[in-house]
Amino acid sequence: MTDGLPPSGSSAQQFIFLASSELAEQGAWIEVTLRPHPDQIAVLEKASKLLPKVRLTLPALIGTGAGLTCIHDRIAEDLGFRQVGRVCLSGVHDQDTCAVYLADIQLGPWRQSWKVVGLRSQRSGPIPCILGRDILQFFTLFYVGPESCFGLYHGVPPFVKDLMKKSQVLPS
Amino acid sequence: MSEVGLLEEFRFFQEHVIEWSKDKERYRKWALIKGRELVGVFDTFNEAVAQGFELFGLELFFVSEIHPDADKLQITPFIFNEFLDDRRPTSER
Repeated sequence: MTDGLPPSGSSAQQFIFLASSELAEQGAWIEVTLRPHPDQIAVLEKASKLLPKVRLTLPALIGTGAGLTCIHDRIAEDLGFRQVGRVCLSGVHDQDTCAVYLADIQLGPWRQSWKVVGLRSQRSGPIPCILGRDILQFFTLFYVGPESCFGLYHGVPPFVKDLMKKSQVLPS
Repeated sequence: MSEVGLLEEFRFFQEHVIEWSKDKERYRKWALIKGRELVGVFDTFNEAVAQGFELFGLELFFVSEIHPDADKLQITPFIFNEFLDDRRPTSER
């Protein structure tokens, strides 16, 4: 798991850098905060209903291999998330679908209303949350293997833009 | 967790998403669906959700991006198997 380092320097509003002694073994984990969507709270309050929890902070695996951000189904239940869709799990029978929930997700200074997929699991699960490419598309990810740390930057840092101008961007 | 809902809306979306994706006015925008009706197409996820709450309140509604792969979840096999293992009957593990 990660040892969180507070953002520092003039870019503190956009940089999140974390050191992890187990980066190679366990991957890049970062703390995210999940809340029910504000519109859902408003609708429930209007109907005089209460949500079970208002906020949950948990570790999330940065998962560039995941197309969508996923959470353990139990978390969606605990936070009373509203279902707004479904998706088919790739490679599984097409009736085997997961719920898509409406969430308010916060990652450092970045906070956004977004959709998350609920993955069912019988055990408590080593992966409560996977940050997928649907959210990572808004960030620049630094994986500094030799230093066992990684960083996230909301948007593209100016020095990366400069590097891209000077370098040849190869087609995938 | 309770049974996954919105099956009717999901099937309706699957039936039409390829067709809608070919329409430049709709591609990569967000569909709001209730029952077997496309209620509206919006530029952002939040706009579609806001309209859903406005129209349907506590009732469920379906929101998805109009993209041919929007109904599929792709996860790296390693991570996917972590979860898939939990979904198999015990005798198959």
